[in-house]
Amino acid sequence: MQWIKQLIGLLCLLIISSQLLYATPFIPKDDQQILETLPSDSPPARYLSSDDFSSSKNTNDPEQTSQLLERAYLQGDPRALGQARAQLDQTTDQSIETLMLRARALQSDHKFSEAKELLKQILSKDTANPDALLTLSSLLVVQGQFEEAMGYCKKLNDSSLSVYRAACEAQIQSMTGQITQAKQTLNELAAIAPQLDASTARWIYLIQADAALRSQDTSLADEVFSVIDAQTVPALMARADWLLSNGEYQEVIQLLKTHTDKDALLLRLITAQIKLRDPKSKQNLALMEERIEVWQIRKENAHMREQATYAMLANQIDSALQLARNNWQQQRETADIEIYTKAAIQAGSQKDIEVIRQFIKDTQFEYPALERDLRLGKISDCLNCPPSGMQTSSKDKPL
Amino acid sequence: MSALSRRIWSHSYRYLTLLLLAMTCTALQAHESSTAYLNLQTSNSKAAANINYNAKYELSLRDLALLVDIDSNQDHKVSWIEVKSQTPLIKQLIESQVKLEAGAQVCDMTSFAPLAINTRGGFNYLYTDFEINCATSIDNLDYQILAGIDANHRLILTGASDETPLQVLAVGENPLGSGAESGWLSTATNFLKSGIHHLLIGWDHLLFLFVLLIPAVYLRKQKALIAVTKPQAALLEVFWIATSFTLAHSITLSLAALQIVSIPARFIESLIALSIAFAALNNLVPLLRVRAVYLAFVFGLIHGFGFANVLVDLPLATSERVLALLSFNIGIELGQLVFIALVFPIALLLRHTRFYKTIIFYAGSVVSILIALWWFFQRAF
Repeated sequence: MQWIKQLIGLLCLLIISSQLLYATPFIPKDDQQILETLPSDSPPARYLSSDDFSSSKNTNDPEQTSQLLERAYLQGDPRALGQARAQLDQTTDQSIETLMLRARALQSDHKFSEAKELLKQILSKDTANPDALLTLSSLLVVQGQFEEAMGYCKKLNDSSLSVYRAACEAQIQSMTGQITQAKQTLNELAAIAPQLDASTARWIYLIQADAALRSQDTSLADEVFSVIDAQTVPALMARADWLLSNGEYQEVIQLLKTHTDKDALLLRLITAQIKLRDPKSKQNLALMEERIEVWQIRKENAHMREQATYAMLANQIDSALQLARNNWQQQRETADIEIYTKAAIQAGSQKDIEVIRQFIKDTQFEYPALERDLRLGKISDCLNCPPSGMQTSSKDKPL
Repeated sequence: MSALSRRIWSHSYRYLTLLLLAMTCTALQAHESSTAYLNLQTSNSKAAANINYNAKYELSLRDLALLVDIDSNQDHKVSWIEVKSQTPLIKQLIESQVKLEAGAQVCDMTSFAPLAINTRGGFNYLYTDFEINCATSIDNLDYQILAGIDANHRLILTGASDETPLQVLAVGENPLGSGAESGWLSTATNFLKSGIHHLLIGWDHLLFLFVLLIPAVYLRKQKALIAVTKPQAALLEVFWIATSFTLAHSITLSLAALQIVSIPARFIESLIALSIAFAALNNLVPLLRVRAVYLAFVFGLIHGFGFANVLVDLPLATSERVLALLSFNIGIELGQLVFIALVFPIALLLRHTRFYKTIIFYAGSVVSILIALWWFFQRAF
């Protein structure tokens, strides 16, 4: 009867989502009703009167483009990326600074090969350009090409760049079998992080958070999450991942309940809600489905990880595996290997499990809990929980 | 202090803009890209010399804020009064930046309804409803909203009462009606999807299929319903029902979509509702002692005109209309197959149970009659 249940669930979801999709327009009754909250640093409106419609106020300010790219990253706001791209489209400037911004925009848009090509072009003009070296290295890390990535870290020769070089190397080491050594370096970097600029400090903390998650290092996680800036999307993602791996689902809900506008955070919220059998999970799944439908109409393929995660949560295992497999061809961060593993185990696909095992073997990718899952052929979402019977997750705590 | 720390301390940091996106890929997957929606539907005033369209344009409030000042008190919170107070400028903006053209003439925009809000994916969109008056069918769209502001902005164009996208336009790209090779392909795939979608969201067609399908697992012998013993027989019956419905609606759909025969939508929609009520009643009390296959054919003719209403309204050239028609028809068939594949196995599985006979067959037919009559009254009066 399981399939009938699933069918009924699917139909319910279809009905909820069709209601959302074809929601009826309304005229708010209260003039003071707040309909939208704008990003704090959003640019002013372009047209103050109809006379402005024909005038062109195109800006070409690299500083502003850079800020937009930063906002896209920190606030998970793709509109800012579109705005940065619009500014870049309007300039013919071929300076290294502008080319770097273009490369970053391409990378953010998941156009990895174009981004790589451009970064290599920059390096052919300026072999020691630290921005290009570091961006290229991080791009290769995302794709799991650790050896090549390390090569670019090592090219950061200038002694004033030692922090960046050390962090760049430690990130790769932590993913390739030298996690203990990497943690030591990262600790030292974290100790001086408060004196560094905010983005460098955040980068170091995020590398630490990733290492803590993979090695289930509670004290490292506690340390990192007590200092990292709490409200940026990358930091929220890292913290939510840690909490999820510890079975602290109620905390995840508390952390993310006001962040349903960001898909990556919404998916984590739904995961926690499903674990706690919160009825809101159905509503949020429908919301997510609606957004995925728009990506599909727009023919955007930069969201395969999210699509795979959504499919897993909606219990569409085959589709989740296909998406996770396609995503794997594009990027291989911790979250990518995790969703691929979950989908492969759930679908019982030995072929995919073998691909992941081979990757772990080839790169010495350090993620003991995941390796255990692969070995046992089952998924333990709660990686850091004590064995069953001793579990003290938030589920058991009074709310 | 370790050697590393000392080394780091001994240098100043010159490259403060580094690393903004060092872990970009992880975070940027939080996406709600800038998307607007335009729905065009010919309005019924065919007596007028010009062609009138009813248009609905939706733009996210976050996007609107980049164009018009809807945060006058600069508190980053957009209230309804702040949006409303910009009504004149918003209208002018749409008139000047969304130009629909017919035969190189720009169509007039008139009769703006009061502004409203629509929610999509959990985000609020400005909803505008207005009339477009054109000399002939719309053949071009010059869309400039957010030009030079957001390169990722897309307009999803939909037609008639359906939400299925006909085209996805970037600013200044792919004007409507362009006959490029890829245009044909995209027309075909869009209409294929549109057909599937239209069938699957068309509750009336689904209900009709449902009332035709539920008796297919029974044989009627001297007023008694006997569950078929061989699933193959029921399967064959369903095959013939589906085929005859398809044949019939293809005929009328083609006649109507190519504008050879024109029947008022309201009349057809009411007739569709009545046909459902009749088919459901026929399940309970066999009024016509004919096989469901023939019933499906006759009613298929009526439903074909209903499907055609989606295509008649489209601003397309005749050649493209034929392609659209073909793809749309195939899409409807696929949608029909999906529905049958979902419902029929359940009917087969449960045909011997009392639950099926009383709840699905009898109660299902009664409920279908009630729903269909309700639709009839809504549509006819």
